Amino acid sequence: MDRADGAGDRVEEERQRIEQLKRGEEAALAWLMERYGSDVLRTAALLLKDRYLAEDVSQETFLTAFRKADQYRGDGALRGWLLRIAINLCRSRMRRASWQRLFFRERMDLDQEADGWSGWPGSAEPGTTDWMNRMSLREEIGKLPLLYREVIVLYYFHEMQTAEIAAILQESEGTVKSKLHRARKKLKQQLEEGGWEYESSWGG
Amino acid sequence: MNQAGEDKELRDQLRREMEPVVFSEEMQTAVLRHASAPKPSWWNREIRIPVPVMAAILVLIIAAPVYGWQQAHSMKTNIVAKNTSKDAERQERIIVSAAGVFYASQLEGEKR
Repeated sequence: MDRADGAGDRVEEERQRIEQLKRGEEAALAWLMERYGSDVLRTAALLLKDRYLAEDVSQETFLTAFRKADQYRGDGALRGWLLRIAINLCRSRMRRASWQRLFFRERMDLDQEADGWSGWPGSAEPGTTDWMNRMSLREEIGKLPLLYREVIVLYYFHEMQTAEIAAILQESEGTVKSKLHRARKKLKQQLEEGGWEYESSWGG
Repeated sequence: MNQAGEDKELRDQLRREMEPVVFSEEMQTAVLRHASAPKPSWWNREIRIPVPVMAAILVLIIAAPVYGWQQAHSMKTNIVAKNTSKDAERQERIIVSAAGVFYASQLEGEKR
């Protein structure tokens, strides 16, 4: 009963904040960033594999949400709407990066290797769980094509069901299911080849 | 391990790895500063032209004068060719008579 009340309060609070956002109140924007900032930044980081680009994209996401709050129809969760904006911005950054690669022959490895992770806080410090695992899961996700990376991030990191993923990516549920199936298979294969061991199998 | 167990473990691991990545106070402040900034006037606005569009415009800028020059050149050539053929026709008029076929210039010589 309490849980249902809590969810109801949350929905009501979101509704009020959206109204404030539509009126251009900055307090609502601050609330939005407080609640969903890290979610959006982590999503961008997993998709782009570059810390600074991810920071840019996440800030742009909130600015876009603030300026285009009128376009939010309220037919889905607020988090989903923000993630859709962030994913579209990530796609656009990736497209721009590939054009730059084509014209300037710069070594922009956004879609090639996962070296954009260097310097990211918490990357494989000796003694940490990451270090014990010998390989970083986010790096393995980063090796997947963007097409698969999107569904994997939404499925594993945001713990979304295929219907929610389909709504965010604006694709059919069938397409999402098949993409997710192929993406999970590929990720599993990569992890096995890299010597990934599940924690529960360490004990024998 | 079953699929659900593997999924849970991957989720936990990913969450642990991404924990240090935080949308900081500075980033929030930067967004609020941008949001509160007045909208720049339209001539002072920064626009982003996509590379394909820019390339298409460049191609058009280069191709339009080249095409125009080609058209003008071929038109000039046509006029010259037309005039030349008219002159040649005039000069080399053929006259057919009972005595035979002659160039006009031949007969003109006879007259003199």
